[in-house]
Amino acid sequence: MRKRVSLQSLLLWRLGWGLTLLWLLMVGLAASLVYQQFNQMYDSALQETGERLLPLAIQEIFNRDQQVNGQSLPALNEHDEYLTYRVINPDGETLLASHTAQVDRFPVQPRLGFSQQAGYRIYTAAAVSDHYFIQIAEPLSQRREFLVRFLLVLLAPLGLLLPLSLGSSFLAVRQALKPVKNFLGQVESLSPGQLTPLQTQELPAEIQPLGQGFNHLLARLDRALQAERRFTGNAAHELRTPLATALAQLQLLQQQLQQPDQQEASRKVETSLKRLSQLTDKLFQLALAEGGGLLVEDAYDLLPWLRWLVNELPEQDQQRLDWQYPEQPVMTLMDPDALALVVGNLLENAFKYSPADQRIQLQLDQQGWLKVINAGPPVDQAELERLHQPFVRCRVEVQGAGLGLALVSALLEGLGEKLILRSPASGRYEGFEASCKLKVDKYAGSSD
Amino acid sequence: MRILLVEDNQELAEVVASHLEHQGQAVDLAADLHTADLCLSATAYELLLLDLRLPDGSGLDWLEKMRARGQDLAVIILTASGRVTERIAGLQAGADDYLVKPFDLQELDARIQAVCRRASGAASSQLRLDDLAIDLSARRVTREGEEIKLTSREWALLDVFLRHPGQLLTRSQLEDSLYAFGAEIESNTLEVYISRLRKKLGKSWLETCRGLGYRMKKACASE
Repeated sequence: MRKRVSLQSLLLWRLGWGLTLLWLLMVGLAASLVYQQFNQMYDSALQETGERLLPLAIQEIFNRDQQVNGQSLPALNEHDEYLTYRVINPDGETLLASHTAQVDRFPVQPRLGFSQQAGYRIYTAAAVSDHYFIQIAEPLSQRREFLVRFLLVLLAPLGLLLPLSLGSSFLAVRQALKPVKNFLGQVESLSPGQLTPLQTQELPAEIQPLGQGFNHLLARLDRALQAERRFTGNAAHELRTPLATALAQLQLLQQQLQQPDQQEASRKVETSLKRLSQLTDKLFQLALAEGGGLLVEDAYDLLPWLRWLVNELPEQDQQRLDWQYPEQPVMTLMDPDALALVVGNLLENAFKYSPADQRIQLQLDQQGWLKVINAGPPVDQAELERLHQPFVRCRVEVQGAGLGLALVSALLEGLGEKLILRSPASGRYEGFEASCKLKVDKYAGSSD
Repeated sequence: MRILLVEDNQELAEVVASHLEHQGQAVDLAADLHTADLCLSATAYELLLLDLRLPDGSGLDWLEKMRARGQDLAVIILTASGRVTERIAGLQAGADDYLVKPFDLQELDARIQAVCRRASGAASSQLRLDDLAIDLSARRVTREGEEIKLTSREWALLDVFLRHPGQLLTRSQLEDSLYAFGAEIESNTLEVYISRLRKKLGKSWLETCRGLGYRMKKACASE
């Protein structure tokens, strides 16, 4: 998977690199321009010096008592000689030279104007109808040294300014992205059941449409879920009422039937009607479970609800139930109807598949783990997997639509949890265990 | 017992009413909350069977207002919603019990009896009245193990007395409990039923207060 890039670090990297490169480019350009100007200035000075020296040198040669080639002029005072020169004839013979001038620095044959040789910049000028030439040399290292110093002067403040500008960029980017981060924080902290609009006023103008679009999406989702719930509720009402009428009419009719075959037939119709009613009920529960809206915004203690659900069981079922629950409240965010669907269906399943003389265990712990255990022959693993799907039943001889566990599974999936089925039950050689983690609000009720 | 059934589905209302009348109860039908209000202002009911989704409003809100007015008759909600929250909301609004549609008529009978027993303050459904053993749940009267057969109307009359032990009940109170609106009542019908009951159960349990009405001696819960 491609690694997600942070907008903040991306901006910082790009700004940082851009700023540094731009700075370096400007320094390079400035150095290049300055070096060019500096070279021209040095060349001009070299030329001026050469042209001033040549008449003096020729005068010196003319004033000699005797013709001595290669005469080296002594220094008046001890000093470093940056500029060296020599005067040569057209054949390249040295007639006169400065005291540290080395012959190999200069071109053998005179070439008028500027040239470079052995790390020296050389200027050659001619006089007396090209009978005398002066070659004046200046070491290029001096110019390079100047360039290096110049670069150092330019780059030294950069070492301080660059981190400063990067730091201020970092602060500016972080400040600019703060509203975006706040918005993302709101998105991340949205609970699965929360569809209330988010705060978008602080968002920058460029991102504001995104925030508003997100809020519109939430509102549409909320409307769609409410419409679905309304439809489910209305459909349940519309179907249950005629079913109730049919069942009541049939039972009224049964009171008047005398013939055993007629009574038998009417009982079969009654059973079918009740089965139809249960199936309709389960289908609506399934639609509800898959439709969302499974969480509430304020946590509440689920224990009173659980007690109420247990008390709603038929008397004979209550007698067969062993249940354990913690003493402290278990704060949950699950919608009470969703909680009732989970508990009701798990218990219904357990009572249906357990032998009539065996007890059922209902356990809830402080962390919200709910376990329902019933006796019965073990179910193999492949079968357990299939029980998460609708219309799958463990044993066909047991009446039912095979929707209960699928319904619980779908509901828990909507909450980001899972229904865990085990057979044999934990620590037993037989039996069936269904367990799941109810959505507990770990922050609620944790204070003393 | 006089029952008000508030249900907008006419077919369901009629079949439930027919069943209850067959049991000897007097049932008035109201298809909406406005009619229900009129019925409640016209006569006293022992029980209200209330659907929650009615054409002119929510049965739940109406029930809350009714309780706020101080009307304390027993109420059973007949709801088509399977939601636990709606059932609990019904109980919190002042209902004594609820029944989810579709329901068994037998279960309806059992709930009606349980609710009315609680409302009358009776702790048990097994009562003793002199040498009579009365099982309210099974609607059975026995004397020394021998069952005494009662018609539904006779049982309904006995049931009214059993729910008001030791109280003087006027003729009109008894007629209101036994007959719905529009039922034709012969002038001496009540006396005929009381005479039949006395013949079957004996005379000592019911006292006639001339010009005023009838009073039943208190029954006690059987052990």
